[in-house]
Order: sequence, then C-alpha cells, then structure tokens
Amino acid sequence: MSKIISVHSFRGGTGKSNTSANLTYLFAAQGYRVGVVDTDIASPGIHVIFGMDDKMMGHSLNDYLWGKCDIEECAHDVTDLLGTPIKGKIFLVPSSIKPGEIARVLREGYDVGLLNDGFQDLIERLKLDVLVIDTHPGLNEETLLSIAISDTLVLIMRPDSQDYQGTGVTVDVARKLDVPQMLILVNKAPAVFDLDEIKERVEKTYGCEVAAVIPHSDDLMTLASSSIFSMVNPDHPVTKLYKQLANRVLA
Amino acid sequence: MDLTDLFKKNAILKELPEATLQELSAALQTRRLQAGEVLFKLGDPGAEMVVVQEGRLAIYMPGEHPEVGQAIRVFQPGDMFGEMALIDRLPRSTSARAESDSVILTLDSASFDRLVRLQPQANAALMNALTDRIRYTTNFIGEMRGWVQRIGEGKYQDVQPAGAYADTSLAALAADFVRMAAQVREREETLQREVAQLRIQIDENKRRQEVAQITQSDYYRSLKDKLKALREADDED
Repeated sequence: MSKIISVHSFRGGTGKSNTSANLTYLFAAQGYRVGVVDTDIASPGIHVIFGMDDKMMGHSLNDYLWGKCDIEECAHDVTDLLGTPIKGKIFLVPSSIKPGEIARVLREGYDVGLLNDGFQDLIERLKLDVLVIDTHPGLNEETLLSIAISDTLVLIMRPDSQDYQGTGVTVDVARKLDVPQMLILVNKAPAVFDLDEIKERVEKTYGCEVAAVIPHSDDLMTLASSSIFSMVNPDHPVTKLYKQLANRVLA
Repeated sequence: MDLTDLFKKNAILKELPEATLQELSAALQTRRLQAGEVLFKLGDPGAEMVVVQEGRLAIYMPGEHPEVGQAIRVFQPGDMFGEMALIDRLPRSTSARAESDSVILTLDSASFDRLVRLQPQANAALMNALTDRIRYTTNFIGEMRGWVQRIGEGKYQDVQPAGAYADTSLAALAADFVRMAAQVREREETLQREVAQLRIQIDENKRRQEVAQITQSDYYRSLKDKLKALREADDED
C-alpha cells in the first residue's frame, strides 16, 4: 500500500522544498522506493537539492501536463546523484525551469485532473512505496487537489505572524477535505523561543499535531539548497527532528 | 611618614621647589581622625585642602544618614583633595570621612593664598595639575561616549574599559557603566524571552470567510464530488 504525502505551506519561504527533500531522502534511506514531484510550477527548485542541473532535466512535469509525454518519462532516478549509497530509490519529477515554459503554464493553466492521474500512474508504474508532493504555496486548484488526495499532509509554518492566519485556513480546508493525517512542522523557529512551548501553543491553536519544531539553524542556512541536510549531517540535532517527522508520517 | 617622602608621592607637590615645600610644611596643620569620623559634609563651606598622611579617607555622597554613603573615591597617604574649594570657594560637593584611624594635614585658604601669591612656581604647578585633570576627564568622557553609542546599538559586550584608570572616581564610574550595560542586557534578554512566548493571533471571522470562499467555489465542489467517486471506486475494488 503506497502513501501520498503532500508537503505544503500557506506562504513561500518556509523551507518546503528542503523539507520535502529531507523526507524523501530519509524514506529512501530506509529502503523505500520514493517518488518526489515538484508541483511548484511557478517557482521550481527541489531538483537543485537533489543535484540535478538543467542539462540532466530532460522531460519535466510541464511536458506531461501538455500531453507531450507519459508521467514516468518525467521521472528521473536521482538515487545515484546523492553520492551516498542508500537502500531505496528516489525518482524525481521536476518542474521545468525554462522561463518560457513557466510563463506558459502560468498563462494557460492546465488540467488539474491530469495531476491526479499522473500521481496514480507514477505510483503504479514505478512501484512506489511513497510519493512526496512538493506543492505550490497558497490554496489554488492544484494545491487543493494535492491536499485532497494525500494520505498525509505536512503543513509547514514559521512562528511568524504572517503565517498564522493562512495556516489556520489551510488546516480548516484540509479537514473539510478529509485528509486522513495532518501534521504541522514549525520551521525556522528563532533561538529566543522555547521549542516545547511553541509545539504546545501551535497544537492548541490549530488542534493539530505538531510533528517537530525545527529551530533556525545557521548550519542549515549555510548548506542552503545545495544538498540534503540530513544526508550531509546525519548526526545533527536538526536531522533528528527531520527523522522524527519522517517517523510520524510513516507511522 | 616623613613629610618629604609624603610630598614626593603627590603629583602636584613633588613638582614644587624645596623652598615652597618648606613654606607649605610650616603652614600645614596636623589633625587626627578616628575611623568613621566625618571630616566635612556636603554643602559645608570649602575652607581647607587636605593631604592624607596616614590611614585612608573617602569622599562619598551621603544617603539617609549623613555619615553613610557609597565611597566615590578613596584617598591614601600622599593623596590630596579639597584643593578646588580653595580656588572657587564653592561649598563642598561631597562629604568626606575617615575610613580608618587617620592623620591628615590641612592647609587653610589664607595660607593657600599666601603660598600661591609668594611662590609663582606653586601657582604654575597647581595649574598644570588642574589642566592634567581636565584633560584626563575629557579623554574619559570621550571614551564614555563610545560606550554610550555601543549601548545604544545594543553591543553590550563591547562596553569594556580600555584599561585600569588611575583616577579612582573615574574607575568607579567605568565599573558602574560596565555593570549598567550588563543589567540593561539582562533586562532586554528577559523581555525578549517574554515577547518570545509565542503569541498566535488569528482573526477567526476572516478565517471562516476565507475557508468559505474556498469551499464554496465550483472547483472545490467538483473536487469533492470526484473524491467521493474515487473513494467509492476504491471501496468496490
């Protein structure tokens, strides 16, 4: 039985792609076959974290949505790009980084229903155990779809007043969509906060489990998007928190 | 202590020629003070200059009790104080008391006037000493400005005296400044911790409206229908 996990945040800049990448890696390191789809078509980025450059990209999610290819043709096995041998497999479906193609999707839109078919086909044809969807911020049609078809929604927020309202709306909408499991990840918490207290307050505010509170980490910032943090720093406290989240997601 | 040795320890007196020092020695009055005895009080007319011969004296700001107050500056044998009162004739700006059993030498204003009038070198030495003190204080104020700026910028750990201060009252002020910076820093950090008690504010009305806006959209409804169909299909499998 495969699992679909959407990683979402109401606003951008919360560390969504990094979290998606770390979850993907941690699942694959456990031996799972993991697919990861970048549905943030407007501002793609997760491919960079997996070490994929423009030349390697080939077919992207955009080609599939325009009917140019099958979804599995957009899925690239990036396991060997990691540089660290792992038991499982990682298949990445990137979004196009060509400005013209990004503009075209934004201008013309696409049949959101195709996304769902694509996800299902991908799981079936690549025999995936887990599919991680790195979503677009906000609550537009494709995001609602990703949330709706997920077994688990990982909702990322920062302890920042700009995130509170939108996170509340997202939690409510996800509940109405009957998402079986919803977990909040509080990311980039400034050092002045007591992490346990943040967990307690956020859980109380949204009535939703907080799987982990990740403090703002200079180490994380230094690595930025150049690699997968939990792979490069296996013993770091932040990696422990990513593992905590990964365990809750697959619990 | 022998008067010649005593005068050598004093920055002003050691500059005076032998003849002047002899004049001075003759004019000085010796007085004994017991530990805790008050020599003069804040506001008293400034009538004499004091040279410490033995023991320790302190100037201080009196608190509730006239004889009690944190010492601003402590004077050791050879140190001199009260000379400004002989020049400007203003009342004492602090109180003074003996910190231990002490012997002091005092010079009254009449003797001081005569000494300065008859011994031009005494006048010049005094002016030099006062100029040095003003310059020293000015430099100190300059350094203090730097501390004030650093406190303003929140760089509390950078508020550190450049070195030891010869002038004990300025040393005390420097120490107070460093202590103040530490206290401000601590208060600020406490406040930060309080502020950091996460306050999550949500406009519940707006939240409901925004949720309704989404769930009443055509797309949301068709999505719900499709999901229902999908789940029913799954159930049939």
